[in-house]
Order: sequence, then structure tokens, then C-alpha cells
Amino acid sequence: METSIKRKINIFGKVGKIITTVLIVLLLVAEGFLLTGGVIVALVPKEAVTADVTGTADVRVDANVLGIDENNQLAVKAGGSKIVLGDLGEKAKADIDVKDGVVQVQLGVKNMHFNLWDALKLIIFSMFSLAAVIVALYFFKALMKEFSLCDTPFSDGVIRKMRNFAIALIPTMLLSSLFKSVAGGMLADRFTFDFDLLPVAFVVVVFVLTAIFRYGAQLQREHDDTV
Amino acid sequence: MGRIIVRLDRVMADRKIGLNELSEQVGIANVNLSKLKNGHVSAIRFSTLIAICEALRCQPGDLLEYAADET
Repeated sequence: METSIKRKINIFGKVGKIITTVLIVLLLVAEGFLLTGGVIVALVPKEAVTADVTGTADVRVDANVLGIDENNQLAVKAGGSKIVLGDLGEKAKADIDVKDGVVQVQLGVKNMHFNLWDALKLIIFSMFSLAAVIVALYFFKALMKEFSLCDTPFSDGVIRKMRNFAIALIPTMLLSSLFKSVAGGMLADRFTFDFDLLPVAFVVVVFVLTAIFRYGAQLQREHDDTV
Repeated sequence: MGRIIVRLDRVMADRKIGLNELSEQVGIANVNLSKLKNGHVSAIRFSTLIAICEALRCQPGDLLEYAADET
């Protein structure tokens, strides 16, 4: 391989290694803060700090567009024709008031009560998510170190470390989705699994790159065995 | 599948030429020539074959031999 290209790859590896090391140190510090915070929160009585969220939303819609027809059905006017959306329940009818050509709906937001155990749950999930990111970064750092020392990027060492990094990304991806689901579930008062496709795509790209590098290594071996 | 045996050592002995001298004439590293002589390579470039044939004044057939699979 040309010396200048090899030098560029080595420099790329060295810079990547330094940046990753800094990131790992910062994340370890954050993990330490979370651990300390978690211990403090766990030791304090759970109702020592509470938060109650209540609220209402007033929705106003032009009665010429959306309203209740003569058969007590919710209907919308579009393009001169009426589209019936469906029958309203008795409870919904009580919340709806038509006045001066405006449909007024009062939506009550369910009262939510948070205490320190909820905060502790979030801290624990954050710690696990952060730990998974640190592990993934550790494997990324090993990959960067391999790049900083290698004669060619298409070597068995680079492939092994790239595959390890791709595998380490899987728990990171799952934990980040789970963390978002738990946090979102606490706010919405119901659990729904929120799965991000972007991290999945990233993991797939890394696996595809590993396969490409494996093929590159095979070509490199053939090239090296040719005189 | 059969295999190709490199007979470079035999031709070199016939021409009474050493590895270092051939390496200088052909312009290939001593290590690579040694690998070729000992059959530790999986492929050879036409340019290398031409250079060796010119240096040893021989044909590719003098350097390479096909051995059929015994099984």
C-alpha cells in the first residue's frame, strides 16, 4: 500500500482513538454522577419530593367545518359535502359546547403524580444506557487503535474489531429504545415500545462494512501472495 | 485438483545462478523470489515470469510444472 495512504489511515486511527478516549472519560464521569445521584435518591424517602402534573386543553374549531349534525353525529364539511365521522359518546357530548359558530371542546389531562422512585427508575435506565454506550465506545477505540497501527485496513485485526464494535452496538441500540419507551411511558402513563430505526440502520451499515472489509482482506491476501 | 510446482531451483542450478544475483537481474525482492522458489506463493504475474525467463534464458514451461491430483 502507498505510504501516504497508509500514513493517512494511521493518523485517522490516532485522532479517532484520542476523541474516543475523551468521550469515554466524559461518559464515565457522567456515569459517576448518575450513580451518586441514584444512591442519594434511593436513600431519601420516595415521597420526599413529588411532582403533580394537571392541566386542561381548550380546543376551538369553526362550526362550519367541524360540528355536530342534527343526528348528534360528529361531521366535517369538506368541498361542499358533509362527511360523518361517527357517533359521539354521551361523555364526549357533555364536554362539547357549540357557541357563536365555534365548537368548544374541553379536554382534561389526566392528573399525573411523580415521586422519587420514578426519578430513580430513570436514573437506573440512564446508567444502563450509558454503560452500553461506553462499552460500544471501548470497542470503537480498539478499532481506531488497530487503524493507527495497521499496514493495511484490510487485515484480520481490523475486521475482528469492526465486528466486535457492531455486536457491541446492538445492546446500545436496544437500551436506548427501551430508555425512550420507559421515559415516554412514564409521561404518557402507559408503556409503548418506541423503536428507533436510525440506530438499527447504523448497526446494519457497520455489519455491511465488516463484510466489505472481509472481502477486501481476502483480496489483500491474494495480492500479497502474488509475486 | 492438481497443483503447479515451481521448478525455479532446478533452472537456477542449471544456470549456476544464486538467489541474490537473480534478484538483482529480475528486480524482485530476495524474499519474494525465495517464496517463489519454495512454492509459497499462490500466483505469479506475467511481468515477473517474463523477467525471470529473460534472466534465465528459458521458457515458462521450464519453470512451471503441472502435477495432477493423486487421489
